[in-house]
Amino acid sequence: MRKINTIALLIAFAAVIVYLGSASCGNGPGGNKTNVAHADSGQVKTPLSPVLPFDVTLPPKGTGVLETTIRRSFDVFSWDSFIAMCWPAQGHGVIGQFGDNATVWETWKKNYEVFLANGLPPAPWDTGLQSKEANLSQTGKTPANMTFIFQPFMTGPLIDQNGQYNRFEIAMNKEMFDYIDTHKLYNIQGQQAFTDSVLFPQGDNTKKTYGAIMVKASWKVLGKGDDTSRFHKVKAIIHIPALASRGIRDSSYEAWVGLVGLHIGTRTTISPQWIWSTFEQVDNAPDLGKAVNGKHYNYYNVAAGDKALNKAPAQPWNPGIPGQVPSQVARLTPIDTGTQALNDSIHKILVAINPHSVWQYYELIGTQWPVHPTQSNTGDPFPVYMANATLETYDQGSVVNGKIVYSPGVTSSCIGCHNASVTWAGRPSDFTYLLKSAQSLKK
Amino acid sequence: MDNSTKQYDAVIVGGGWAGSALAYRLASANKKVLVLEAGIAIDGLVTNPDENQLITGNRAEFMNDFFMAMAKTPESPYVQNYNAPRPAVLDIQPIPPFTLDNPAQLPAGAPPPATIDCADPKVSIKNNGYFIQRGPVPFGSTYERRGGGTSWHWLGTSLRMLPNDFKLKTVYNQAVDWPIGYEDLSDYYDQAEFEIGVSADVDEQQIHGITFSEGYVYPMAKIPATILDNTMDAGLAGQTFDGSSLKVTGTPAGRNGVPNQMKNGEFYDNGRRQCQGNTNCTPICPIQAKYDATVTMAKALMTGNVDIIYQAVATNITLDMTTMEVTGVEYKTYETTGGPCTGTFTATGTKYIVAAHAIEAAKLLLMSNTQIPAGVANYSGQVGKNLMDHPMYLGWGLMPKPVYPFRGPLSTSGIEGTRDGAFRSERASFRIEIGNEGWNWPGGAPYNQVIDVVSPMPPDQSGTPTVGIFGTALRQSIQSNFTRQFRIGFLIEQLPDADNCYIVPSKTCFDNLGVPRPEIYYDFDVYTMEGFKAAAAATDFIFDTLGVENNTGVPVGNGGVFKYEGVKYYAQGAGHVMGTHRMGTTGDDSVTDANMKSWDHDNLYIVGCGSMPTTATSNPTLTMTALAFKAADAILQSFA
Amino acid sequence: MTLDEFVSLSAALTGYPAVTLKPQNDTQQIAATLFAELSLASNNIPAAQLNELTQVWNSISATPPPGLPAAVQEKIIENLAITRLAQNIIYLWFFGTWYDLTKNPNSFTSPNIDHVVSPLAYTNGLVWGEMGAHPMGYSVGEYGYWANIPTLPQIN
Ligand SMILES: Cc1cc2nc3c(=O)[nH]c(=O)nc-3n(C[C@H](O)[C@H](O)[C@H](O)COP(=O)(O)OP(=O)(O)OC[C@H]3O[C@@H](n4cnc5c(N)ncnc54)[C@H](O)[C@@H]3O)c2cc1C
Ligand code: SF4
Repeated sequence: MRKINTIALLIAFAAVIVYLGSASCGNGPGGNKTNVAHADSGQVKTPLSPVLPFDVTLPPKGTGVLETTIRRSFDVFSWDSFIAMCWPAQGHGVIGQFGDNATVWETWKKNYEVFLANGLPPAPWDTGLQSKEANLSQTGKTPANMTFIFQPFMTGPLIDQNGQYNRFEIAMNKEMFDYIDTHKLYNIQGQQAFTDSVLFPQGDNTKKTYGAIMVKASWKVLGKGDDTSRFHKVKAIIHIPALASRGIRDSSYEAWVGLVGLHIGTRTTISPQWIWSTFEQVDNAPDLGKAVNGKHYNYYNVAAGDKALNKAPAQPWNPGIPGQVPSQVARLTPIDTGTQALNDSIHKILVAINPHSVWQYYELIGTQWPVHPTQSNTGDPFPVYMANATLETYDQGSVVNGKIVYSPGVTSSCIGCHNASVTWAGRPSDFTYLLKSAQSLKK
Repeated sequence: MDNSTKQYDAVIVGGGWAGSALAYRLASANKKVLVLEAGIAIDGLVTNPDENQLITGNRAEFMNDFFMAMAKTPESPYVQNYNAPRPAVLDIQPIPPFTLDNPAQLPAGAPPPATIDCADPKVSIKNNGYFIQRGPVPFGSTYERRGGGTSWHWLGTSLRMLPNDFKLKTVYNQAVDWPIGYEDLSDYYDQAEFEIGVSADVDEQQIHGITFSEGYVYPMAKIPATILDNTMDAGLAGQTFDGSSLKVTGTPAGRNGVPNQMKNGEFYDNGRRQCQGNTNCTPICPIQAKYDATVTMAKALMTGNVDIIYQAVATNITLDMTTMEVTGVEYKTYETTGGPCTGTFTATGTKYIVAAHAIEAAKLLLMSNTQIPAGVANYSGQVGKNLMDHPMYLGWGLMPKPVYPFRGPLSTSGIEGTRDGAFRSERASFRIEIGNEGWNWPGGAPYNQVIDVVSPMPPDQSGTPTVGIFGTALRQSIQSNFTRQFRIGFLIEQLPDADNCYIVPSKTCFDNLGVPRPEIYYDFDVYTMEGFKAAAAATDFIFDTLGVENNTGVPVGNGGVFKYEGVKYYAQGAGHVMGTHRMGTTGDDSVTDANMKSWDHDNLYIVGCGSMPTTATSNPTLTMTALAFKAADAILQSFA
Repeated sequence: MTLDEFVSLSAALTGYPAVTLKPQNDTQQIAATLFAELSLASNNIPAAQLNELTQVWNSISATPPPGLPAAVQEKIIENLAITRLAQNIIYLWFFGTWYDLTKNPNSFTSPNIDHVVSPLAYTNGLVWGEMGAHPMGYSVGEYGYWANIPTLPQIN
């Protein structure tokens, strides 16, 4: 293991250095506008960079091996993206220098800021960019009006060990926002009038352009048993929808929430079916059958047994109901060893910046990309299945008679599922369900 | 498991289609509802955290079972449960003494005595199927018993009935009229189409006197037609058969198309994915683009007003013999699908609704015979009687040019002109469904035909190796043959026949819980067989017109064989089980009134396709959903 | 038989190029999955039959392409000792299924050991793409694709 780690570390360094070299002007439109930190922070030196990669950098043609070196290129792309997106938003030092920091991606546009209830055009990109408080009112990973009716098999709430529901939010970068804004895709009528194919901008290494990036984040309300020094935290307004039958009224309160999952989707020239990177907080859930006694998991309780493993909670689903039974979650597909080695090496770099960096507690679960992009609509994704335990909890696969089974077309696959996404006009929406959250223009 | 301490406004037997629709309607009006479901739970649709410790199933597991099944039948994704068994198409066989070579000659006399060894319920169900078939012809339709019921493998066809379908007696002097007319259901059709999420085009559906409310649009636009549909439409333009137009029209489908802006200005959105053309609606849609009852049950449970108990098989309905009101529903529980009974409990409420599927509902009422020997709700003697289906005739062949089957939803268009006409005073009407899955249904395509050329069957039918084709020749053969395969299916009207078509709880054969299995007596009358004859003639006519190479012969599912006027026909089940608790205008000859309330018991409702007095030719479930909403309104009113 | 031998033989039997059957950057490992069926004890493959098929294939595999199909026809397909096993390799690729070698695949006598190899073996079955379609239950097409004429794969 040690040996692999060292090698991985070297590779990781090499890759990061390449970026430092190639992206010296770190002021790309998709990047951080206030990324002076790296250049002049002075106090902390790190090979990590606030500059988002444009696209993956692959091994020379014909030399790559799918499971190792090619996967590594995509994993490095994922980590580079994560680091740049979680870089301090307001130019205070480097990532994790002060333990935690408000991030770049949290300044991006949230879906509800783009798709307004009245269907009117959204405010320009740079209004309210600095707002830090997240309004987390959704309880499904897709936008509110898609999950308002809970869909069996699509998404159920995820309930942590304290009986609290996870919250989810969606954000997009400027490239993605601009595309929606320019083509008036922010309301139903705009989408119906749009007769071209929806094709978001793609990141390109040669042209040095950024592609569309969308982020899905999943948060847990911090509480009993949570070591808050291990989470990226924000204060959020927690919304509880009404449920008359249980005497629950529509209400909101403020609480600290910790980041537990982060999906990053990036559209690029090499990967027009997008590159799908998914991260989790390290305490979420054990691998199936590998729970460590005495360890505190966010979504697993060793004492509870595995009979309700990865099953959606009992109905009715409402976060206001007291005393709900926590979800019992295990990861069915372990993290690839090469990916894990890269995680370890990046964690070391993060610790070197600050031993208390919260970012050392986030790990890359995997990167899915289209291996043969022109072969079919889905482009032959690899790994074939990929799931984030906090975002696709109940679609990871099933355990049947002690064996894990994956069902093509149903078991979570980012590209596989997103391939079915459409606009309000019923046409393909380029791998994002986001456009379906548009509302009708109210005159 | 024991909910006997809690008092509910309504107890619903059956968490399938009708049960979900009723639970949702009642719970939305703030009624407390208990649902008893015989089968296993579906992930995410449990109300008691302990239920998550029971057996649950989910779409991914069902898909896995489907992928791994050799015979991809409607039942293939859904494992048999010996404590709440269900029939399977593979079990449909001629009933002794009849055989495939010597089938029943209809009309036949008294059904032959068939003896079945059912001493070991599991072995017997496994080997011979769940039904005790008494014939003379086997009943060909199946259903599912688990959360969501038969909606798991319905196809999605959601046609309205024709105005004349409600008045068969008045207009054609056949069978009986319904106690309601088209206009009574019109609004409920709108509601049912909204709940199911039907994709169709109003203009195209205005046939045979069907009307729509002012400004009505379906929730979603019509699903695009396939190349086959268009080929048939062009080839049959202007043609008629027996006076009926053969125009090809889009079939309203309970699967997601492109959202419409509805009459109220809202854009329809049910949050589920748009159809991707997986061509698998039956037996299971992998992405839930096709509606199933779990959608409605989820909404019902979200209200917080519904409790649902799974693995709870209703076995007896108890009565207060002075008021004649229902006082409770007894149910048996179990822990595993092959394990023993773990207890008997009673559920109580103010109103009771049996929504357990036409055959199981009738069986439950008849089994409840401890207080009234004839069974509950059976003053008329009609419970379990008048069992009907849309027996299907299949025709298949090769088109002169490729039509590219195995693409798109299983069926997107049909011929509806043949559903009504003066001929209905003589013979059954039918609708013609156009199948997009090649010879999959009649011929086991693509497997059987590929095997035919790669490993031709030796004359002695043995396992001796034979020489076939391979490589380029095989590829060419697949490309030229499979792209031209197609089939049509006739859904033939059947009339109620209380004497020859009925179900009773078996006195000798039981399932693993000790619950009687359904014993089925089934026959076709001359009216229906004349329909078969016309279907065969229509097939010839259509195929001739289109220049089709007619390959209609013995289908892979050949158990429904019978002879009429010396000609062999192979009937298939449509899955449309009707008539067993029919509604009507009096308690003398029907089980419920038009609100599906039992004539005999004031707080008992019986809802499902069993409510239908005649079959019409439209796939019945849209109408059944409309009826369920009608019943829900009546139940809510009865509380007021 | 080795995996490489299996893939080259499969190419000859199915009419598909070896690289289609076992692509570079093989995401789903179908060739390996199907190949494993040949060493599955429960498939009851007579060792002699498998050996003979391997040997025969190795003896003709170097035949230049124009003559190869004829060699396969003569030495394998028309050789009743091994043709049934060769047919099963065709079924593995076209359907993702294994048929009991002791019976005709279109006979349903039971018990038998017919089985689907795996969900991915099924969804990768060649028969579907050959006719311009997709496996029933697994489509990556877009809404309404069924109204358009598909392109059938090129046959060389
Ligand atoms: C292959 C196939 C294709 C079909 N396609 C179409 C179509 O295209 N269009 C159409 O209109 N219709 C179609 N149908 C018919 C449609 O599926 C049924 O009409 C519909 O599901 C009936 O609804 P239901 O609520 O009466 O019964 P179900 O949906 O079967 O629900 C009954 C429920 O009751 C439960 N239950 C049974 N017994 C008991 C008991 N004793 N105690 C407690 N619970 C019990 C069962 O487990 C089940 O969940 C099809 C059917 C089949 C088989
Ligand atoms: S065609 Fe496919 S996606 Fe569409 S409803 Fe049928 S199974 Fe579902």
